[in-house]
Amino acid sequence: MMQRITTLTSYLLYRLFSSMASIILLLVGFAYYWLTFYQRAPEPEYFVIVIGAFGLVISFFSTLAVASLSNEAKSYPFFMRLQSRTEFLASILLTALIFALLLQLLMTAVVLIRNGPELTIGRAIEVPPIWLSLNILASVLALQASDFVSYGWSRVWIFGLLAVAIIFGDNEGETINWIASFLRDTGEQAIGTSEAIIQMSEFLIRAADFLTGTTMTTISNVFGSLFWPFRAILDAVQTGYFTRAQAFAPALILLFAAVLFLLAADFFNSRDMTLAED
Amino acid sequence: MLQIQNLTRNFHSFRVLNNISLELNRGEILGVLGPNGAGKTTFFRVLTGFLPQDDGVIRPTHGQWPKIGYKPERLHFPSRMTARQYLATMAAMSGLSGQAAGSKVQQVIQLVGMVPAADKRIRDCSKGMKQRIGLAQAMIGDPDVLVLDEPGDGLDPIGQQEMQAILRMLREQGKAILLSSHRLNEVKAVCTDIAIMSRGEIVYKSSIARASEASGKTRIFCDSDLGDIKLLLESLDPGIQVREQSVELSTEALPLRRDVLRLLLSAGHDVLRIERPETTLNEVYAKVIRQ
Repeated sequence: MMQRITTLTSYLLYRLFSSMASIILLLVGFAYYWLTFYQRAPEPEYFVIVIGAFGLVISFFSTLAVASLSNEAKSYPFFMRLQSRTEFLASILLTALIFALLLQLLMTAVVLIRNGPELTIGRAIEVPPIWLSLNILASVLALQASDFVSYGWSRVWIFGLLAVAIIFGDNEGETINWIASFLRDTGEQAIGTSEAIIQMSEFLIRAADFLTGTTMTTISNVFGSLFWPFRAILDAVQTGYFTRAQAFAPALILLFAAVLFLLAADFFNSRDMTLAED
Repeated sequence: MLQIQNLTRNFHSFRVLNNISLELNRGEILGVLGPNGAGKTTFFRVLTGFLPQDDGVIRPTHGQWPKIGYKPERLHFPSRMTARQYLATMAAMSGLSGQAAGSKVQQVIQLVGMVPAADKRIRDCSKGMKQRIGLAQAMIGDPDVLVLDEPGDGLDPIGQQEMQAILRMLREQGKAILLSSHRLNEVKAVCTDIAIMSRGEIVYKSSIARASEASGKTRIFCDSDLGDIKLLLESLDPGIQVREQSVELSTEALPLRRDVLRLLLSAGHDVLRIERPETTLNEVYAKVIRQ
């Protein structure tokens, strides 16, 4: 299995490096560097967060690019030799992560050499788990978004649920409050004498009350807890050290990624493998 | 090696494969024929696991699953790679490494006759050479079953003969081969059995020998034009067809043949030879598809 994954990963890296996608991603990297680092000497926390965000974005888009390259008829002979289709997914993930990590390391090297922050060894050790866990999660999310892996309406469900979680997990409640006031305003302004309009108006006001009520706070807390690892990492980077609880955050992110990868593998194993013929 | 029972596959509400049942045995080359859209490529893709079936089973005849090699109908390769690099990648994917991989690659390169083009970039290779690379990649890893979609497509006559020789050699090695083709003479030259598909179903299955059995016709060849006795000959039997210098009888019945010969000789036509022609694959195919 390892030989097959290694061979397929090398082949996909070769395909990625000889494609237009790699040049575009490299240009995106240059643009990102110019916008975020060129004119300023970064603080350590700014450096960790901004390059981490870059890795996340590049991992997402390089996974999409590799998945798109894999979705071509050239891949048929490779599929014939796999014991399981999941090996192909693992290779896509590895290829995208290697590529993203190379770009991330390139940017890191340029920033550190040119106008880099002074990182203590303790701080430098904290960086790889943060960046890697975020890159892996972004890659697995991109797998779910790609044509190659998605099955039926799977990506609509996954990203729809993610959007719901983001909206309802907003701890400050700004989005929820905005939706509630919108519903209340609409309900109160509904003018009419017909029973349907009155019922609609009452329904909107009840929905607004629900959104600002205690039940909603509980739901919001549940969804909000899903985003705790990201907040924990952000807090830790800003304060300059990880508490014991915060140290688990990258592991939790990897757990999310593992669940999403299993889901992607399940979709991928069920789908028709009709690859694009150019 | 493989047993396929009641294989069914739908695309939405359209049934593309309907209750396909076949058995593929060691040393057998089964040619799957059928018009475009009959479901041949879908059948091959279900068999190779690219498309899941909606119903039916595919199972090994004896315990262990055989290794399957597949050459798709349309060939796509990473065009910047050379044929040798590509085949080396396939060898590595098949679990070979180091010297074993190198010698296997060299062996298949020689076998499919692409030594001169082995180190060329694939994009610079001819269509015929790409067909050979397609066959070579299917053979790497020593599969027990080869599924070849249109293996002779794009090959010149010499190339086709070489491809047929390779397929016969693989059959002698005990491989089971499933191939699709629109070239009926190619099928007749290499296949041991044929199956004709139409609208997702196998409507005819036979060994090549049985399909080409005597047609039951008799053909008498003469040395001169038979125009002068055409009507007289046709009046002997409604199944008689008179051509320029030959007469075709729709039966092998001796009395009718004697009557025809007597008439020919009495009219001064010399009889050169008498044949009992075999049914051609074209005739079998046309008859089955028209039904």
